[in-house]
Amino acid sequence: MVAGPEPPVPSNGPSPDSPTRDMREEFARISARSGRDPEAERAFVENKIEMIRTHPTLSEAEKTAAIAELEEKLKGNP
Amino acid sequence: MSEAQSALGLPGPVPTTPGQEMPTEVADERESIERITKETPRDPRAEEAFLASKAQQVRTHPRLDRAQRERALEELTERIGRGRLDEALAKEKDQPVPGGVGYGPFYNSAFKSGFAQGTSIYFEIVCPTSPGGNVNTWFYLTGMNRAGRGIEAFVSYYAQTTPRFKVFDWARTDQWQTDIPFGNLGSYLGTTSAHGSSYQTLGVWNSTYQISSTQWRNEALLWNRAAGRWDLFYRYDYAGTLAQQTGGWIGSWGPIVETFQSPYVNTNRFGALNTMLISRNSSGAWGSWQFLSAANSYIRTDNVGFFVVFLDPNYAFVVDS
Repeated sequence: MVAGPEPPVPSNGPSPDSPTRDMREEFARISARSGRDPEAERAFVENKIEMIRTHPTLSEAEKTAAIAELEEKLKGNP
Repeated sequence: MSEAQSALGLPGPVPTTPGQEMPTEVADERESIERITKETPRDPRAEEAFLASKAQQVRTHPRLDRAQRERALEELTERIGRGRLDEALAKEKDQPVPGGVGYGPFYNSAFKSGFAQGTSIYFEIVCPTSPGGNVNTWFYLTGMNRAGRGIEAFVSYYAQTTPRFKVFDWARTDQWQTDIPFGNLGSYLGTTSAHGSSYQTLGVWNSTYQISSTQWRNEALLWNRAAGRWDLFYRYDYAGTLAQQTGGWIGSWGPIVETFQSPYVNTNRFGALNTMLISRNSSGAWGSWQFLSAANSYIRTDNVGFFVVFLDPNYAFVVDS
């Protein structure tokens, strides 16, 4: 199907060479019905920042770098 | 007070025997301290926060089991008084609670960056149709495949409403992509047994891999149990570098329970089963699937009320509250 890895074998069972189907259009169609939720999107980002701020083993410098990385990646978030 | 040498060689005070004279001069500052204390206005908010914090510590203590937490809370209630404690807790509810990690593995730094042309994760999300308990805001069951520009394909709860399966793509500027209510996932939701119990699970497989010298691909599949096949539901190709994928903090979490409130009480069970990762080397060859182990990851818990039902280090865990 793709140049990716062999599919893993879930505990209940398909064989590694099990078939695949492209369901992207179907999923995109259902997703489009949902509409965006700005409050949920804001909460997602704020929680990630909190995950960094409260991380038990990151140093202050590492936290600062991680938050900067997050902000950089989210720059274009409409 | 006299001084004595401690076993560490440091001088330390020795309390006097009751009724005996102080061995050295002691100033009695009780009156002045009492006066200053009286002059200082009381801070009811700080006092309530103190009490509420004690209750929070008891409810979320990571080393106490359920019965021990209940006993400790009873003791606290008895000592403080139910009315005062309830009042303090009610006011504390109005305060913002920082988000965090209820439970789950994070990758060690060497493992986080231990791939060249690709990385991929498979895990079965233990995701009841209702979160139950006191969940009253967002609550995620998410995970990443280590790539800094990979995706989060995750279950998103909001209070007790129908959960949704979503994709957040860290490689895009319009990151929010897939959004599917559980009602549309009937072919994908199934049951996985672990440690004598059955759990509703969703088998998620997401990969990030290089498709040319400058291009990378994020893609995600769900195991369709009804049809016995993998369904590709998301793919995105983009320009990127290996350094962007292996460096940084994003991508460092495996399957985690991501939290937005505290404490959690009486929730259903959540977690991840059969977490496996695979790496692609610099020649483009994929290795073999390996269960996530304690050697390449560590468990983070922010003590927000969850109990560990079981942990198979670190490829499977279930928690509840």
